[in-house]
Amino acid sequence: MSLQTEVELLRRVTLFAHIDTTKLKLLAFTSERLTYGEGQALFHEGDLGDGAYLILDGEVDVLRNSDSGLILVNHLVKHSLVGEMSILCDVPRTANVVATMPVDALKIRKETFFQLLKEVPQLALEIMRELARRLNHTNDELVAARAALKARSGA
Amino acid sequence: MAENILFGTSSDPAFALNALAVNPQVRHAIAAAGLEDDLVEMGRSIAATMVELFRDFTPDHPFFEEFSFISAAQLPAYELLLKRALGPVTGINGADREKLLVLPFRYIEARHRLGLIDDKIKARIVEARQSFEIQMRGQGSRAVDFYEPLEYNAGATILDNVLFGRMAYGVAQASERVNGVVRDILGAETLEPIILRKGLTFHAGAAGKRLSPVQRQKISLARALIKTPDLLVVNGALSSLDDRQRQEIIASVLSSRAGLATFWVLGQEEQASLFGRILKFEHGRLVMDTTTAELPAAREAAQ
Repeated sequence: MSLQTEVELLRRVTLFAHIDTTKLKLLAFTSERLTYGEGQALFHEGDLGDGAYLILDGEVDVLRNSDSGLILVNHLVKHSLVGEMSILCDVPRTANVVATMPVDALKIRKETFFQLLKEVPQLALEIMRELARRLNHTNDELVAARAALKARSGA
Repeated sequence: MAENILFGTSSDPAFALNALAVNPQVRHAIAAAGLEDDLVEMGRSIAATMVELFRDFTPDHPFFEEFSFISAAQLPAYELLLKRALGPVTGINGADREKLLVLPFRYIEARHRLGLIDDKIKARIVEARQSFEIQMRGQGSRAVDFYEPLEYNAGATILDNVLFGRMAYGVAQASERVNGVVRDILGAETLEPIILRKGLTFHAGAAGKRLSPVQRQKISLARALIKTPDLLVVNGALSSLDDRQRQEIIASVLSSRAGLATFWVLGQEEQASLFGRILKFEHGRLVMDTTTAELPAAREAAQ
């Protein structure tokens, strides 16, 4: 798969949908292409976040450590971006991400990502939008959870 | 690309990566294999990509040093060259041809992914490799130590001599897995003293430029430790390592410094349990001052 194909794939990620081709090409060129075998971890909870991963092919499980073992919190398919939270907020990885089949990924390094944010204000805007969208989604879930709790305690 | 043609190691500056495009033996082999036009075409593609990607960056931007095939100072000249060199590659001559020929030697298809090397070019590169070796041997030149499966190559690292191949680019954790296998084969006991001795003679480069950030940080810490100071202050010195490695190093440093004071600035409270006294700051304010034994109680009180 060449840089050109990677650019096409980057474009399918919401975050990058409106970034111009040259900048996406730059993002791909300054990123590392990595392949993982089934069961291999992209990163572990608690690791230092050194980059975000774009899944070009394959699928991954997002698992969190808990007292009762690993808990599956998400399953991501190709064209998903994973691990960007940890580099944006500068916190250690909040989950384990494990390949559930052979995975082909583009690792966007933290420094490159921030350099790019500086050069491409539009990307910063897209990220704000995406984060706001997620916050909105989390708020909805919170409201639903509270309503469910209320209904249960009322019953 | 350069390694694929040389197929050996050399300490002669005439065969260094940056000198290959003007090295007469290399040029002769490239011409003999009919590879020169291919390389000029590759050079033109690389130059066009570099100009496209990096033209908007200021000359001091770190991207140039890390990623660009063309330095910031040379980029405008290549931009002009590309405007001149539009037609078929056979029409590019003189200085322009030389400038484009320089670029592909550093190119690694698996890493740079510009899609420049097809089967035909691969075959010509192998042909150039053979013609280069025949020529060098014919001249009785010992400038290049060619790779020979049954001989030790003095110019290559111990690992390269064992592997006798390249670690596949882009396979996650490949080096850890390969290193593990090599260690298993050779046996840690036999290998470690040799590697330690060899490693200590390795040229680290100016300010450790040839070392990885992790290696640089470990060496800085080792330098501080070797002085056995009465008070050791560590602040962000292991930021390139992951949590598990950091935790291991903290534990071993502390056990090596029994009876001496060690002050460590930690990013996470969890790592504090190894220390005798814990001070916690939030937004520049001291919010907790406790000992390890009292830590659980102090945490509860804080909540």
